[in-house]
Amino acid sequence: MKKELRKILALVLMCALVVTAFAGCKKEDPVDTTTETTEGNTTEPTEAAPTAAAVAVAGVEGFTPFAETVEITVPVYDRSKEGYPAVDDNYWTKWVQENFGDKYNIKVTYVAIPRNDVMTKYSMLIAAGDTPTILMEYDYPKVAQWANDGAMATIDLEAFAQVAPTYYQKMVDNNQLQYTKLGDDDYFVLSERPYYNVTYTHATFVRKDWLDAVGMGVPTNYAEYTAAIDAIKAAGLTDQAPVGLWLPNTGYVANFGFRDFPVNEEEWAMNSSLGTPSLSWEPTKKLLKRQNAEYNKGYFSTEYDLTPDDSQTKTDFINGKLYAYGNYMSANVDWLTAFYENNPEAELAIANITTAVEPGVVEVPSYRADNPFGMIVGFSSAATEEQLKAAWMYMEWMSQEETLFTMENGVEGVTYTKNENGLPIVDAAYRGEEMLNHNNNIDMTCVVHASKVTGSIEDSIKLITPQGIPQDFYDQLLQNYKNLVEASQYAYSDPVFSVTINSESEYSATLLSIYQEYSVQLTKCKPEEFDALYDELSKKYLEAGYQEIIDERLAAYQAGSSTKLPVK
Amino acid sequence: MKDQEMKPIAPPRKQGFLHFIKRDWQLYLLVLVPLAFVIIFKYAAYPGLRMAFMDFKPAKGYDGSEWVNFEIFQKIFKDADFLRAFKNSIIFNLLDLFVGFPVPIILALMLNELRYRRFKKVTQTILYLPHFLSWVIVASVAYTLFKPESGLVNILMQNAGLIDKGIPFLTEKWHWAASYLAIGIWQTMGWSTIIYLAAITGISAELYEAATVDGANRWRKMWNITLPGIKGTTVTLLIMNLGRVMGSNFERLDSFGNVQVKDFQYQLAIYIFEKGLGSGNFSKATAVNLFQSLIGLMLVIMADRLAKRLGEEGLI
Repeated sequence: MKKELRKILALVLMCALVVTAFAGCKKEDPVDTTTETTEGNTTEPTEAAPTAAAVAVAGVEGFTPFAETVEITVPVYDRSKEGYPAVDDNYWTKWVQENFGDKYNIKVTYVAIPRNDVMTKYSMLIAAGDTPTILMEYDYPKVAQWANDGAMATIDLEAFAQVAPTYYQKMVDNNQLQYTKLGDDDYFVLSERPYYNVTYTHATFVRKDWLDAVGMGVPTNYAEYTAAIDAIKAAGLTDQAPVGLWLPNTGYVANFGFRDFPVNEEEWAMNSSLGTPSLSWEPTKKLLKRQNAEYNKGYFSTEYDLTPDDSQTKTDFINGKLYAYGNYMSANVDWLTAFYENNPEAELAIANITTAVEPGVVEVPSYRADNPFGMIVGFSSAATEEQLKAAWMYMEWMSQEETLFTMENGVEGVTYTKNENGLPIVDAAYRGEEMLNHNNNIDMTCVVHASKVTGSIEDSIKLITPQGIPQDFYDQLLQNYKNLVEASQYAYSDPVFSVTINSESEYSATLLSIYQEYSVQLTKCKPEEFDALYDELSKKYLEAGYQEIIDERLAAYQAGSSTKLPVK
Repeated sequence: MKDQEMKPIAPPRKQGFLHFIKRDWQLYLLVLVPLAFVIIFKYAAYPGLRMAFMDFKPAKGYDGSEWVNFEIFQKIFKDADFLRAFKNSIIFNLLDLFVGFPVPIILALMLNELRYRRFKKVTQTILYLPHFLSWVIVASVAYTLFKPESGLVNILMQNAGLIDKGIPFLTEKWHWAASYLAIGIWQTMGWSTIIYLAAITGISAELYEAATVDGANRWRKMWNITLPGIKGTTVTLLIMNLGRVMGSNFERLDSFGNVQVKDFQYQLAIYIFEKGLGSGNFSKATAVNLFQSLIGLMLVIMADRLAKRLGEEGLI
C-alpha cells in the first residue's frame, strides 16, 4: 500500500512538474515577442514612416481605417470619486469608440489606474504582459523608470509628426523637444501644460469671519499669520487644532519659499524633486523647524500623522473647525458648496501668497512652478507597428479642437450652456448619463493638455470660479493670478534629467516611507531637541539611499544631462 | 460493499494503481479539483522563483533579464531594513504563538464545561464572529476606539478621571505591541476553538463516566481525559503554526501600521511590499519570500521530528 501511495505521489508530482514546465513555456512566449519588438522597435517605426506618409496627407485628414481591427489600451486615472461613473466604461469612453475607434477600425480600451497607486498598477500590468499601448505620468522619474526597465518603445519623432502633426506642433511651440530623450533615444512626447509657471487654478481659502471676529485682516506675512492663529485659538473659535496637517504622502516637500534666492543651480539639481523628499537639504530643515514650532504651539492635531491624506482636513474645514483649506478650483467645488451648507453665516477669503514670508526665513513669496509639460507620454515596447500608429492617431484626434471642446464641455443644452459671450458654462451638478467625469474629463484629455483653456485668462478664471455658493470669488481669483504672475520670478520648475537616475528608482519608495516617519518625529519633538534630532535623522536618511541619489543627480547635472535653471 | 467482492487472500501486489482508480474513480475525480487548484496556484508559480536569481525586469521577461546568481540575496542580507523586518517578524510571530496558541485551548475547555446548551451556542457564536471581519475593518474600529486624543476609550477614561492624558494604545510602539497582539488574539481565538471542540467531541463518553465512578472531579477529568484526548490535534496545530513563524500577515500589519510604531510594525510582509512590489522590484520580493518559505519549511520539519521524538504522530 505504502509503495502504491508513493508511486501515486511521484506521478502526481511529475505531472505537476510537467504542467508547470509547460505553463512556464507558455507564459514566456508573449514575453519573448516583447523582447524582440523592444529591440526591433528602434528601426521599425522608421520603416513604418514611409507607410504612414504614403497615406498621403499628414494628420487627421490623412487617416484611413485599418484593414483589420487594431486594439489599443489607454490608461485613465481612477480617483475613486463618489457619484461618478466608472472611468473605464462610461458615456465618454463609448463616445470615443464611436467617434474615433469605429471610424478607423480601432478598438480603444481604457484601463483604470488608481490615482494614489500608479506605480504598483503599472508594475502589475507590465509584469502580466498587459502593458497599455500608451503609458503616461506627470512625474518624470516614473516614466524614466519604465523606459529604463524596457517597458517603453523608442519613438521615431519624424514618423510621429507625420501621424500627429497637431500634437507635434504644440510640442514645438511649447519648446518641449528638449524633454523627449532618455539617453540618446527619444522615448517621450509631452502634453501641454497651459500657464505651467502660474498656478492660478489652485487657491487656499481662509475663514474671513474668524479674522473679523479677532479684529484682523487676511494675513499678509508670517507674523500676522501666527498672530491671527494665536488669537483664533485664544478666542475659542474652534474646539480643535485650527490648522490642518496630514502625513506627507508624496515626495513633494513645499520648501520653495525656504530656499535662498537666487537659487544655487547645483543644489537645485540635486534636491529639487517631487520624486524623493529632500531631507538633509537646508530649506527642508527650515520648513520642518517652522512646522515643529507650530505643532508645539498647538496649531495641528496631535493625531495628524494618523491621516494619510488631506481628507480629514477637508472634512474638518467643511465642518467649520479649521482656519484654512486649499485645493484646485473649478465651476463646481464640492467642498466649498458643502462648507457653506454647514456654515451659512461664514465668510471666506482667498489667502495671500505672501502669508509665509518672514525675514530671515522666507524672504520671497515662492511656490513651485509646475513642469513645463503635462503628461509625459510614451508607448509600450510590446505594441505592434499598427498599435503605435493607432495610438498616435488617437492622440492627434484628441488634439483637435472640436474633440477637446466636446470632451470637456459635453453636450450642449445637457451638460453645458453658452453664456452671453458664447463661452460654454458647464453644469457641474448634472448627473445624467452624459455627465463629465472628474474635472471635465481631464483624465481622458490629459494626454493632450493638463488643463482646459478657453480664450483669455479672464475667461479661464471665470470658468474656474466656483458657482452655486453665496460668495463670488472671481475678483479674488483674478487678483491671486496677478500676484502669482508677479511672484513667478521666484518660481522654478524641478530639473528634468535625460538619463535615468537609477538610485532614485531603487530608493525613492523606501525613502518616502522613512521621510514620513522622520518628519513626524521632527514635527512632534520639543523645539529645543529639534536641531540635534534633525542632524541625526538626516544622517540616517542620507545613508538609507538619499546620498546615492543626490550624488547621481549631481553627476548627471555636471555631465550636462539635465535641464538648467531658467534665466530670470 | 465493494470490499465484499474482493478476494480476501489476493496478494497486495496485484492491486495496482489502475485497480484503485477503477474501483474508486468517482473519488479520484473529486480529488482532481482540489489537486488542480494546488497545482495551478501553488506549483505553477514555481518557475517564477528564478526571478530571485535574476535582475528581473517585467517588460524584458525572463529571457531578456540578466542572471545575477545570489546578488539579490547578498543585497538583502546586507540591508539593515531587512534585518529589522526579519527580527520583528520572528519576535512578533513567536509572541503571537506563545500568547495566542494556548488561548483557544483554554477557551475550548471552558466552553466544553458549559452545561446550558443555548448559552454555550450563543457564546461560541459571539466568540468566533470577529474571525469574519477583515483586518481593515478591525483596525479602523480599533483606531476609532483607541486614538490618544479622539478615541472613544480614552475620552471615556479621561471623563471618568482615570487618566489625565490619552493612552497611546496604537501610537507608541510598546503599547502598540500589546494592543496588536491582544487584538490578534481576540480576532482569532473563537475560530480556533472550533477545531479543539471537535476534537473534544471525539473523546469517548465512557472515559468520563468511568472517571466519575472513580470519583474524579471536573478538574481531574479535564486534566486526565480532555487534555490528553486533544493532544494529537494540539501538536498538529502547533506544527502548522510553527510553519507560519516566518510569515507575516500583510493585511493585519498594514492596517495597524502608522509612522510612530514602525520600529515594531516593520516586518517582512511590509518589507516585501515596500521594497519589492512598491518599487516594482519583483526579484527582491521573490527572494525574500523564498527565504521566508525555506525557513518556514525547516521549522515545520524540525517541529515534526521533535513531535515524533516525543511520541506523537507528527505530520509528515
